[in-house]
Amino acid sequence: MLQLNRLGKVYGGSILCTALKDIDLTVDRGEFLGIMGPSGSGKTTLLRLIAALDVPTSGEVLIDGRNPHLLPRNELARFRRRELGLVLQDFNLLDTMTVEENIVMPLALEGVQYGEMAEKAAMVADQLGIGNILHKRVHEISGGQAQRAAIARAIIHGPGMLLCDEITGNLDSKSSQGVMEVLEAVHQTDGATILLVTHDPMVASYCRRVVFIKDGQLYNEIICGENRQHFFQRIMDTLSLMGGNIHDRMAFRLS
Amino acid sequence: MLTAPVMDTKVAAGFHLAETVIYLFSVLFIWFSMRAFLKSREHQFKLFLTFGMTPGQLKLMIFLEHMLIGLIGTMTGLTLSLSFVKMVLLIAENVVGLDFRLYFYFPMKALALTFGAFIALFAVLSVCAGLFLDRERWILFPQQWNKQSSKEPNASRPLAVSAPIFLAGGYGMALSLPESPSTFMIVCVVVSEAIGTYFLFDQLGVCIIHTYKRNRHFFWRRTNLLLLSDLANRMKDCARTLFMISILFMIAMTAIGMMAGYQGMIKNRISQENPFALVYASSSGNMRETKDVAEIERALEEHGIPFQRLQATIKELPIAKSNNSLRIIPASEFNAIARAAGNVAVAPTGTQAILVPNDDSQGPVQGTGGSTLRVGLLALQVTGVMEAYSFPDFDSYLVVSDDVYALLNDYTRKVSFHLFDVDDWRQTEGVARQLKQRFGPTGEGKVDFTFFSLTYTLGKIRQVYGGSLFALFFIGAVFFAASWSFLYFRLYTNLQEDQRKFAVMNTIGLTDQELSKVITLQLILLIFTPFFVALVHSSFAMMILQHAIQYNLMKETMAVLGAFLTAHVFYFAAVRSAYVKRVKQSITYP
Repeated sequence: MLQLNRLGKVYGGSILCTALKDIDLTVDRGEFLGIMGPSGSGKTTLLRLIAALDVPTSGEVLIDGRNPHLLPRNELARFRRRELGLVLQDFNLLDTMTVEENIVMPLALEGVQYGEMAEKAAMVADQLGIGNILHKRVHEISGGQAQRAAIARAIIHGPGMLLCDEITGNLDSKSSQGVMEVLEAVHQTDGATILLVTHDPMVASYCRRVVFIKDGQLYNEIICGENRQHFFQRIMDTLSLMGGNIHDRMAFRLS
Repeated sequence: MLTAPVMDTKVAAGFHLAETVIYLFSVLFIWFSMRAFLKSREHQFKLFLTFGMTPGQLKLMIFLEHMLIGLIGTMTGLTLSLSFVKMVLLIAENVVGLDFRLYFYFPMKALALTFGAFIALFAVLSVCAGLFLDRERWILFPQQWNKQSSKEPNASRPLAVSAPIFLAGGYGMALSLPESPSTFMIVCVVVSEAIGTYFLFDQLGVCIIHTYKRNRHFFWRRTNLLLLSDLANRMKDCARTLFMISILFMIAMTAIGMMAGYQGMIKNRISQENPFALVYASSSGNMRETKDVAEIERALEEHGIPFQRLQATIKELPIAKSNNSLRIIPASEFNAIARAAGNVAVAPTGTQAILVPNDDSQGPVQGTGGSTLRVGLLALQVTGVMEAYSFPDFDSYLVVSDDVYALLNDYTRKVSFHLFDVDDWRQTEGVARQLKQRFGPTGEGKVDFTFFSLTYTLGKIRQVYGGSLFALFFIGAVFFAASWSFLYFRLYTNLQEDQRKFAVMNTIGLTDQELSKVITLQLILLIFTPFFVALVHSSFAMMILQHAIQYNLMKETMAVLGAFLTAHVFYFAAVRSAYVKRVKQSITYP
């Protein structure tokens, strides 16, 4: 599904800053992968490179064998709205619209018929438990609902891959949990490939596999066994081995 | 700002009015920009307050900042305006067609007044802006979280419907105005139009967008979703500004339209009433007649202007038992002239006479169709009246048959006219000037001939009206520039919002074409709506003016509005490409 070959990113400017260095990673179809690391480790950069929101300085990204960075601008835009779904920390919803209008945006741009859009929106909303707020405007809903709406927008067009960047960063623990449960359900029912960037071990414990990045390089990876509690513990252990300032922001919560 | 002694009071009043209106609009403009500027820096202010700046210090800072901006702005403005003055004067000379130069001078008094007025304006407004901050909650609780509310803007249906009613009512009133309307009636028309225009943007515009939004098959089609959901909000936000902009545009268009209209009217009236480019009129006893006429012919030939010379001799006779006299011309001569001038020929028989009245004359035979006039031994029956312009500045006259004309020999005076008919009278300007110099001043009764030239007369009249026309042109230009800058400013207050919106859309995937389509449509609506509203208003104003001056302004109106439209299209193109570029730049992806 996704293959990264010696992917590197150096931010220019007066001081050169290496954000990512020679990342090799393969993600299979239907995988639920977590990417963890301390702040400044380059996780978000990695996600931006995969989504082709930024250009790499070395290496390549292959999504289903295609390198999005080689696509012309317009092709890339179409690729992104057909093949990818993006959920970001600050929800990224347009506040002049209702929730429903936000959700159908990728379909509308593709010129899908109205009936089909309305049907799909209702379906996705039901799946994510936001069916009752479809006609509310963005400022009238809570953070957790907003993030679910953002997930709905990211999956309504059935993308091959869902990219999530710190999606629980602005939410309290209860909402985070709700959002993660929804995401897990999406993964199970739709079989979508999900890449999740987070610094929260609780969030990461929902994944099937977690890779750790430190200072722009792959550090370690662990795979979930049968038990999520156990997986959480192993994530914690790896993080403490990694060191860094991640403990400052760590949330010890699990249910 | 302009108090030159040469200006007549009407022109001066016009300038003072324009000056006041511009100042008032500047007040609003500066106020709005100040508020927008403060709004965009709210986050920064909150930080200052959080770190212990007192509200008093914040206000002092805002005051000082604005005074600095005001000082720099006013100085720059004055410097720029000095260099613009010469340009405006040059353009005006050409547009209005002035013969004399509009000399550049260094207007010390005007500069001082402008400087003082604007610095005072900035001082007052920045104090007010500071006081306004007290109404904001964050001045006391800077870190309190408040949700940015962007509710769906609502419009009331009755108010929306009232917009066209007010507009139509205003137009109706304007059309049914009596000859000399009272101030109250004019105020009624203006107020009704103003309310109508305001509701048009504030209510009807929003209502129309809502109607489109309710049709979800349409609303959800591709980029419509992106365009329309924002447009309703923006329309409501902009209503006040769009309203002001359309009023400014309207004033500009009407002023320039009036200028062009009057100019066209003067030109048209004169060239219509004087179908012949050059006329040499000679009283009996003028010794140099043959010589002068030959000279005119030679001059025209030298300049290579083909011409046809026509001749007519008018006899002046006293009316029996009256102090008045009649002017009489034979039918054959009249018909030749009429044909050349494009008028209808006449054929009076026997003692019939056709009256050709002159607009301005209050002669003895004014409008006396069917009456009988005794001239010498003959009784002339006035059988018809017809409008015809053939001779420059001449009283009413009668056309009689050649036989009757031959019988009228007890005339007091005989005037022979030499009319030079050319294809394009504009070509005769050089010839006319040369001949005018050659013949010296005429008329005034002391010389027994007159020489008339259409181009020369027109030029003379232009100089008389020049001041007023220049004032109209100037007011139009200033208001047009003002509305453009208002519009530009208004559009750019939305830039940040748009940049955010399109950054979000970029993550979903929006092609360049879709992006520029949405921005283009959005800008078209915001840039052209006030313009077209103004276009309709000013066309209507021109229609009323046309009615008042009894002259068809269609051509001039079309030319002026066409020129405005062209300029506006260029403005739109420039703004659009800059705006698209700014939005694209903000999207982080290269």
